[in-house]
Amino acid sequence: MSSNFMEYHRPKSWTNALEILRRSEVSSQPLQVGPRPEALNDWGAEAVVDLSQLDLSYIRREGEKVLMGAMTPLQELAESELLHSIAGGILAQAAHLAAPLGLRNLAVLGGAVTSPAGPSEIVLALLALDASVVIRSGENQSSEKPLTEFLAGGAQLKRGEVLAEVRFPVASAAASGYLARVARTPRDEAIVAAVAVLQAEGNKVQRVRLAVAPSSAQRQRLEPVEKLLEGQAFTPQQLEKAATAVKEQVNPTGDYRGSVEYRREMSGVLAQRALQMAWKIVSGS
Amino acid sequence: MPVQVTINGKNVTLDVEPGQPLLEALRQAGYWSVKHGCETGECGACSVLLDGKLVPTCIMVAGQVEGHSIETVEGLTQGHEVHPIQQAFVDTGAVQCGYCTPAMILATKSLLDKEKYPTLEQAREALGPVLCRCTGYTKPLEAILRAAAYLRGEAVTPIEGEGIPVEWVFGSLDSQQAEPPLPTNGGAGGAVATQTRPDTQTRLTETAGATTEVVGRPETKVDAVKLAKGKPVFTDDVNPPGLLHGAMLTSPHAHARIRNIDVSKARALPGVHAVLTYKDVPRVIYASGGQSYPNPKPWDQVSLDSKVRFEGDRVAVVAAETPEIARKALDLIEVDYEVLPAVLDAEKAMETGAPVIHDEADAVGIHDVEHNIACVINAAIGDVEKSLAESDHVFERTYYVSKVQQASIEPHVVMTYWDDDERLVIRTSTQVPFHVRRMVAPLLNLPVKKIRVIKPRIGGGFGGKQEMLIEDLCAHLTIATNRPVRFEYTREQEFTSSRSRHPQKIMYRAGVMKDGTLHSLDMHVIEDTGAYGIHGLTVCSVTGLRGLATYRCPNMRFDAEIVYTNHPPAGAFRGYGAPQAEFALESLMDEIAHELGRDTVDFRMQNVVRTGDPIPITNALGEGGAVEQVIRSYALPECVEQAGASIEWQRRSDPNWKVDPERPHIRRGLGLAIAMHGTAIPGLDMGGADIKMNDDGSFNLLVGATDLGTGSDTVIGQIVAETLGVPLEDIIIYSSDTDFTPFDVGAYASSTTYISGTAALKAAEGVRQQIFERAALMLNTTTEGMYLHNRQVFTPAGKSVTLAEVALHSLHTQDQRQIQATASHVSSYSPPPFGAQYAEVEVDTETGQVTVKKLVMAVDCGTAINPVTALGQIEGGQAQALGYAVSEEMVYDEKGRALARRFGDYRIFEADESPEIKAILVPTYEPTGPYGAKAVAEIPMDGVAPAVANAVYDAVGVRIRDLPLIPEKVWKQLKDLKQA
Repeated sequence: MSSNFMEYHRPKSWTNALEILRRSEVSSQPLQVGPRPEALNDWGAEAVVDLSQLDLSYIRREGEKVLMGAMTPLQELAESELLHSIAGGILAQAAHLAAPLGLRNLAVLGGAVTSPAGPSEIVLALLALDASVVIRSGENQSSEKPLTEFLAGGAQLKRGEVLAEVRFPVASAAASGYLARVARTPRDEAIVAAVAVLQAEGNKVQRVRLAVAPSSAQRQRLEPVEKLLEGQAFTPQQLEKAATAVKEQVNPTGDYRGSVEYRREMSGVLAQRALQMAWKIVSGS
Repeated sequence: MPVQVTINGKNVTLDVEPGQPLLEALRQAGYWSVKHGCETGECGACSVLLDGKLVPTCIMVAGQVEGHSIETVEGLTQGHEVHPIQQAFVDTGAVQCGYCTPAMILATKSLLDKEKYPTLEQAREALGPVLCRCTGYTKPLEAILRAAAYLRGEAVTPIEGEGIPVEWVFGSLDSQQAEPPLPTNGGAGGAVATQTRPDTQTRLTETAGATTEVVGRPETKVDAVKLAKGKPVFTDDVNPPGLLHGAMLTSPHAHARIRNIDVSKARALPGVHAVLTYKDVPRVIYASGGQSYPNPKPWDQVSLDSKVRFEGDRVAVVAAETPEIARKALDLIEVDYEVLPAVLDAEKAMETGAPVIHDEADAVGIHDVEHNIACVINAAIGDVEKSLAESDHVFERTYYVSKVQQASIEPHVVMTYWDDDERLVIRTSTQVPFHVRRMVAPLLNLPVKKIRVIKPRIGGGFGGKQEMLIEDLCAHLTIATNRPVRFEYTREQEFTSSRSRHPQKIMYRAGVMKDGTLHSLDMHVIEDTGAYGIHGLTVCSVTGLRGLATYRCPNMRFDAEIVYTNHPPAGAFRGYGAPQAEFALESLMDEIAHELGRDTVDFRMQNVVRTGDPIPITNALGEGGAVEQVIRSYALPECVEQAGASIEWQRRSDPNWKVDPERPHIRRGLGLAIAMHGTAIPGLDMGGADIKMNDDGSFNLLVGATDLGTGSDTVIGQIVAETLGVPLEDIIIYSSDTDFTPFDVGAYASSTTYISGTAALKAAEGVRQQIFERAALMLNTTTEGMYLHNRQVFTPAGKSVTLAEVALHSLHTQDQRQIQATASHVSSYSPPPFGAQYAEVEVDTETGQVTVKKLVMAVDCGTAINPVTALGQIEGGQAQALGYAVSEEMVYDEKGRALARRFGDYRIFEADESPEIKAILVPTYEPTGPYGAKAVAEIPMDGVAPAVANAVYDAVGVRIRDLPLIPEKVWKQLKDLKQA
């Protein structure tokens, strides 16, 4: 047991935290543990900055948005009544699946979003909920960007930046959601996972969000498939088309848990299942 | 830097380094119950309650707890008190090795502090963070529910276990006459023959229905309380002054020669006390498998070599003041490798022109160096080719079993130091302390008498510690520094530099006659032993034994090649070749039955061995030499029936049960596998015991047997207590210390209860006789008809003296002498335990995911000396075997680099996802075992994988012949089936 850290900081203000993180002479990293933690001696930083004093642990609704602090433990996400009430509770379910209880008590939302690998379902749920991230770079300086954009940039933060919050529009509350996955064991990290969030208007799909992880490190929202479905009647033929489109759009990386071929096929199967179940819930059929 | 924290209600200042892991800081502060199992928070052994919530401490920096409150199990009670949660874990048998128990107890407390009436689902959720490799979670879940009842003040049902009929022990004349004669051949290992054990002299009572008073009862495990209290009883739970920390540099290449190695910078680093490479230690050839003298060949290892043969192989070791300095020193070692072509496929390794892995001149006993064949096995009975030609049906099938790891939660850990007499003490987590002492001596150039090996409590072994894995390196560091040194594998090193089960390709040809009788069985195995031949020959021999013993067949043949590759070496793993064979055999039997249109149970029962049958393959294969075996105790049909009733086998023919209208992509199925194992290595395994009487009539029992969490100390204690007519609490057992206890081969081959237990029984009988003689002197009578009961000696006339009076008389009064006896035992007989394993599965026909819903195993292990520990073995073994079936696999890239290097990637079932697991004991009385016992430890590993594969076939009609049954394999076959 050992670590590479030469310094440990627990700043009480943003000014102090960002000052420490901005230093160029010492590599520093905010302490946001994800559901697949690295060993302490595998962290690349010399200094670690504990953000626990910065009031970043919360889940609340403000107006038409749900706001979640980046230091909110995954267990609080899993237990949140608010999150359970939104889109079939897919985010709470995803948090529950991400890790066993002890790790959920320690791992935080920010860690789940910035981890390049590990369980994908939290990010998939957030993508399907149209989430955005709030990045803090100064005492009173922060910027919001869509999660899709953040992920497209490799979920990387610049020196002196901290992921402070994740938020999503509450409009999704009216939708149904479903999370489908395949794994070696019931709680194992998914080989492939898919999340659908869907709203209906009569027998038509009014609005749909579909996110798929053909491998744990590849989490993507499939907008072309969404467009294919939106405004259309929800029929087996449409569903089949959507599944085919999913398979065409994913570009999986294979490993010992699943080949490229398998992951591609499962992306289609699970996307189809997620859509179908979400439709079943929202339409009652 | 100081960290102010409340620990167990007290304000404490931890003096820590910035960035120091919380786990390390807590252990340094004396909270030894907090255990190291991994570095990624995934095993949960290091968990504490932080402000009431369970968290893993290995991924926390100590500074994070400033101002917070921590609870460890040390804080649950004071002095001799036992907390109700601890008591529930003790009472239910939830404590096996005890390494993860403190974390489980804290997980329970966290739940019960919030929830007075927990559901089973909540209990599963609470235990989810703590991986357990021993119990299979069944008993810990029972413990949680029981603890809740204790805390509510409710009465609870007693733990079951009522002893065994005295008549079984002493036998009835009729049954003795009906039994077939036992072989008296002592085998290759010695001339001590097994004996039947009616002993009328000590008949306790003639009362009908009388039962044993200690044996067969759920006595509390003798170490359970201290383990539940998290006391410092494991190898790493001490901190001697001047302790240095060892670390190992390993090879990044699967096959390379070290052209040059420069350690000058590492040696110059302040705080570094030694850096050792192949240039610094003597080159002594050995084999690291913990086996009897002389170790089976090949001998193909040295402590440190100039060639590396797998990614993770030893390159250098360092001793330094802190783990951080040791790790930095490793980074400063400069190695110039000549990378060599690697071969990772056993069949390709045998081809002419393949890279030669052992080209060193001094290796001993390699069968064919040029073709990387470590050894071969050829054995036959009858004429296989002729019998196959005669058969009405011939079936040819090939099965593949994967490389899986023991993954004990306590990593390999050792501490070495010089004692006051300048003898080397090796305190180590091992299953084989006596083998370690003998095997390490020549490597260190020390005589055996200068070495003492102490085995404290072990945090699981499962065969992975039937090995001298790191003791030599740590000892070399103590010799080089004259300082105490501790050396522990990281979890990643456990996956890269430890041992595993041998992967095999198993090819069967079976000849069957029209009436369904087996006429011929031909078995050919290619075994990948990895870079070294450790246990390769003997594991493969057991594969042949188990693959050709369960069914009657007049013509059998076993051929095997044990082949080197550049994979990490395999070794011993619970089951030792049998789980490989059983997967192939029981899949094959299922396939044959289906193809012949036979009921799978009927077909098996038509051909399976029965009471009185010989086991002819044992004449051809066996580490202890050719030893004839015959089946005496046998309850396989009862096992099949009872476990079948439990799993509701009849559902197999109910088409409505097999589908789920709510989930049309799901199909359900049931599968069966029969298991037959061995008990000890006949003619070879030996155990010793010594018993000494104390002034108060209690007894010190010294055994060499190695309790690795299975409860053998308790079981052996029960055997002695029963024999001496005292409660278990009067037996003070001390085990596995080469300076104090008699020799024992160690904990492996399902031998401890049978071999070491019989040695203890013999010693107890010797003590009993001395007690009778002393009592006769005191009572002025003869020993005729005397018996022991309730801490007293009774004469047939009803006179009695207490054991305390006997002891005082013997030690202080007249003709003073120490009442003491030593005995040892080796058996030429290896009575097989039998079992029936059932599995219920759901298969997702779209993804191929197999979800095991329930496992049931009924086992005939003779007498269960302690039914609670025996059930725990069966439950835990099934859980371990379930991983082997569906999720666990050590996999490598094309360069031989391990891809699963942490828990999670190497997927072990958690409590919150495990299926219901049930164990059933079907008692028989094995006349050659102590109080009728035979083995139980390994047989639960054997049947799960084939039962699951057979259940998948039942559900969806596809046959998976390649473990593990990960979703893609099932999906591919479903796709092929659909296309066909």
